[in-house]
Amino acid sequence: MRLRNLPVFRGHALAGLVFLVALLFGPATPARASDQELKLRAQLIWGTDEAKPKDAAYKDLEPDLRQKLGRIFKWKNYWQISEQRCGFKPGETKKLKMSAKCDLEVRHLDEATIEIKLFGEGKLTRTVRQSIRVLERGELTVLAGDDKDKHDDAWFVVITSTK
Amino acid sequence: MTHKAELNLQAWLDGELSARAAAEVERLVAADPAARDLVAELRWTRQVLRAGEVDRPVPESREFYWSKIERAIRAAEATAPAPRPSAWWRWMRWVVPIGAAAALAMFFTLPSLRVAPSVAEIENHLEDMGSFSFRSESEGMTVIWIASN
Repeated sequence: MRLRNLPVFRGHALAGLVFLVALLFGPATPARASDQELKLRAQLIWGTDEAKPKDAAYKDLEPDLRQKLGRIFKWKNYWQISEQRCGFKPGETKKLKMSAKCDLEVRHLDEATIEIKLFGEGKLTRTVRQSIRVLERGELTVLAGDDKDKHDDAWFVVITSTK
Repeated sequence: MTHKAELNLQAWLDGELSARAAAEVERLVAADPAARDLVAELRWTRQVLRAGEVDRPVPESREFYWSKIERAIRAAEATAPAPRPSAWWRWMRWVVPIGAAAALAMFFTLPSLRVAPSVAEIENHLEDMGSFSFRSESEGMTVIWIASN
């Protein structure tokens, strides 16, 4: 008897496949609770080829992040100017001051999305909506640009999820 | 006895003559001893042929041999009743579609079962500042680059 002739497979092959896939992978990805707080870390980073100024209070980046940025961007050095860590309940909005010229407004839109508004010198520049699941699986969302005053340098706002 | 009379005798024995012609042949057989002898010989010959002819079967070709097997299988399949599925299989016929429907319902209702889009949605609020975005799969990084003009 051929397998496809078995009663269980007659007309239900696709349905059976979906069922098996859901059975195998469904429990491995538990649903995110709708009231779960989202913890984010925002870092303002300066990218330059120059050495760190002696009097600057910039922090060295952790090696993993510095190597990631170094593999994508051209600059030799990356210094952390500031860092903010915040928790967001669903629907909650918080303003994060990253520097005198750079502000973020982060909103936990729904259980799947966050909204990041970038302000430069008080002006709303960009709004980015990102998947929370993408952040929670360890991915980075980076808003970046060249320095208006010093075009050889660049700034980076790196958003990551912290557990 | 003429040749035509001999043929008529043979046709009479085979039952091929009309009633009138048959009556003429019967009269001839009653009157003519040679006709009687011929009728007796023809009857004997027919009897011998019926009883003693050797059966000579035509040899079967290879194609005919296999076609006989195929016809026999088809005939057996057509008459054989369909096998009744076991209780377990009958039970699974309902479980599988119901389970699949439940899995689909879970997939569409639980966001965690869906693959999250990796590309961020971006709104530009300053027209004098261009931007582009890219994603590095190897580094797990989505970059929105803002260029001041």
